[in-house]
Amino acid sequence: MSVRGEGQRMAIIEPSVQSAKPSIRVRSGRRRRRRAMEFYLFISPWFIVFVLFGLVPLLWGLYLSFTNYTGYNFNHLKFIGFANYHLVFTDSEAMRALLRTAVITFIGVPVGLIIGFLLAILLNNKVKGLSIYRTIFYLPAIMPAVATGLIWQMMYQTDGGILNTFFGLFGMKPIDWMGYGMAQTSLILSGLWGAGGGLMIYLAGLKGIPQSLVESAAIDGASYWRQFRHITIPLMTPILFYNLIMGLIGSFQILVQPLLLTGNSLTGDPIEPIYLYMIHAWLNIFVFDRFGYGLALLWVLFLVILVFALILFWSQKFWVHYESGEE
Amino acid sequence: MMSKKGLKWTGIALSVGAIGTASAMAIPMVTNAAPAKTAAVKPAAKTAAPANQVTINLAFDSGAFSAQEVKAFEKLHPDIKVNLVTYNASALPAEFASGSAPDIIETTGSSLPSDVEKGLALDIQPYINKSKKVFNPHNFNNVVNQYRWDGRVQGIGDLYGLPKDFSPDFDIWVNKAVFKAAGVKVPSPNKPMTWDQVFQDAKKITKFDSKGKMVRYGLDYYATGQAQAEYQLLSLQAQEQGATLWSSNFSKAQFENPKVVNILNQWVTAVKGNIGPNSVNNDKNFFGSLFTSNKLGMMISGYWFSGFIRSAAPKTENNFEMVPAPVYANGTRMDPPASATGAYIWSGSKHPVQAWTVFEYFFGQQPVIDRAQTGWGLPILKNKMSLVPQKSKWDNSVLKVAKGELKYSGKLLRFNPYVDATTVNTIMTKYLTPVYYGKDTMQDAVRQIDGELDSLIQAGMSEAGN
Repeated sequence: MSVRGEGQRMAIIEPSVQSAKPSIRVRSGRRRRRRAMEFYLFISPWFIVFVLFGLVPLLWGLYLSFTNYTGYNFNHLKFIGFANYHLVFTDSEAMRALLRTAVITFIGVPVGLIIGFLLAILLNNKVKGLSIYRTIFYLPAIMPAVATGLIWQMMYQTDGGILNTFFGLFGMKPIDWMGYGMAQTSLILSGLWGAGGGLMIYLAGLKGIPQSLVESAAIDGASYWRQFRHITIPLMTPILFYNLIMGLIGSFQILVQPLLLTGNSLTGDPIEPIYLYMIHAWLNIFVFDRFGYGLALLWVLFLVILVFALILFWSQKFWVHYESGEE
Repeated sequence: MMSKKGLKWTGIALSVGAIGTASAMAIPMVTNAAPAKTAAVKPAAKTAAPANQVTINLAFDSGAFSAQEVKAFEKLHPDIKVNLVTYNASALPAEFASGSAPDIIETTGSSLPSDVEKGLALDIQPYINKSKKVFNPHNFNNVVNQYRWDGRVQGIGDLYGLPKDFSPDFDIWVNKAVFKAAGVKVPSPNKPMTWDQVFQDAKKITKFDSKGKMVRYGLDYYATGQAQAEYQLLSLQAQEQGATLWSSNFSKAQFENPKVVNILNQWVTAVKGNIGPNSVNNDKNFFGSLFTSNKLGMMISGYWFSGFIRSAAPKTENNFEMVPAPVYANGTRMDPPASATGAYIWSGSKHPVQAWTVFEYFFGQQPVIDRAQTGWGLPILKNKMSLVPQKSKWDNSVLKVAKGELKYSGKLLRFNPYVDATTVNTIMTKYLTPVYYGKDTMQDAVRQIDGELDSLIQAGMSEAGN
């Protein structure tokens, strides 16, 4: 083949290659735009709902936290700057309530985590009636909070309550479950009955542990406890971490249970040991009509939860093991 | 199996459909932000609604007004449709802000001054003045004055609402069987007990078995279902002794007044003695059931409780009697309504004239007759008093005591217009509960109550422009 022939062929080929290049660019640009449009269309239902019913009310609440809003003075709101936020940090009631909430969270969440995890370990065996047990342990987690609160109210009633009636059969004197000494313990106990909530995720994680690792360890003479410590727990840490974060976020926002356990209504005032931060915010908004201050309390709570969550995220490099090595 | 392209377009179609459905659902939510409303009545229209028909929303606790009453009203006024909705205090601020609040809203005499100061209640005096056929002012029982407010004093000034009925609320209902079982003399219906006597008898009646289980309580109070300090009751007891919980212009709380402190200490003793359900023993049993099942000796309540007994324990009604409201030795007898549930017309109602027409009917015409005949309260109109139950000897004995108490029901309890009753009760509970448990002193508690109430009063006064 002569170079000239090649050149001619090149001359023949080049123009078509040159004309194909813009056509490919145009086609790929159109395809990208179409894909982008499909993407936005698919996420639009969630996005619209999130913006309308999530983001807008959040930002509106943030604005109102800088005003003197009382629920009835909408037509003559006054911007008062950081006065409400200053009040949050100088309100000893709010700070004590925050401390109590933190104590209940740092006790209740880890205990709930351990119980849920151990339940999952137990239910990860071939036992007769396993599906029934799984349902029973998971059910409390899906019960409405108000129903749960009312059930525990009946359980904890000093006179004629279910627990005291049961213990009375053994000759025990009635326990003041919702008294000063026991109220926090009773609240934590009532929260633990939902420990089975993480069951499904734990079970999925346990099923994902490669059997080959377990068998290799067994062949090498590792006891059940060593397998549990060095294989099961490390591989389950991502799930434990997830449940820890979710538990922390949920526990800081406990509201209904303390109200229903001691009060007769949602405008009630629980006793001091279980007078938690969200209750303080709730009462300020719905009973005292201090909407602006109540919203400032909630935004401060958001920041507190964010700080603790960030600390947990930072800590995961020390104890959470991801199989892929990525975080 | 569907192709990739088919899946994609199906997904897009579903998304568009979801957006469309969400938008269609969002439109009524945005224009009528009332999350907890339930329309209890939608009578079938036999004929087409008039073109200018107006809908009036009436928010009240369910059961206060019936579907039949609504139907009867709409027959008389085909241009007005009445929508009964369940009263929801938590939803009201959002409804006021969005302009979608009910036209007629339930309230109580204790909250009425606060409703007026917040600018929520319409002045209905001009309408009442024009409605002399239904509301002759000489025909009002003096309880109606609880809905008068002149900006400083409750009981005088224009009317801003009306009670639906009333009872002198501080009488003592006595369970004779319980008194006999406890070996305590049954009080006379002809003269009031003293408060000291009430507490003493309650202590004698109260009994727990060896395992600490309650056999019977001595005392309970209908408003809270608990025998402990409560705002309206405390107001009565203070005013009987010439004291008051508020300064003359309501700018300060006065719980530190020695007479108020003495009353509170009496209630602390009552709680520690477990003479009734309270926040320490956490007994959630309904007071009505305790009373009619002979587990409660005395009930602080009003004439309206006879309606409960007629329905819950008709065969044993003779076991229960009502005696006059207690009074402190050397005190002034008082027996006003604790709260006289009623309603106001919202000042922002788009149809105040039609709202008034509905109000006039439900608070002045046939429904007043219906309610009086049930015996669940005394009518606010004097000429309807003869309609309350008077069939049996028991009916008449209870009514006799109630009528005798009417002359002590004119002097009203002083309710602060800048903090409502729920707020005061919540703050009282917050600081008194540690005292009930022995974790704080009364001195500390009342100081904190005054402090917190004062700051809320200041905020309320500033909002009201005072």
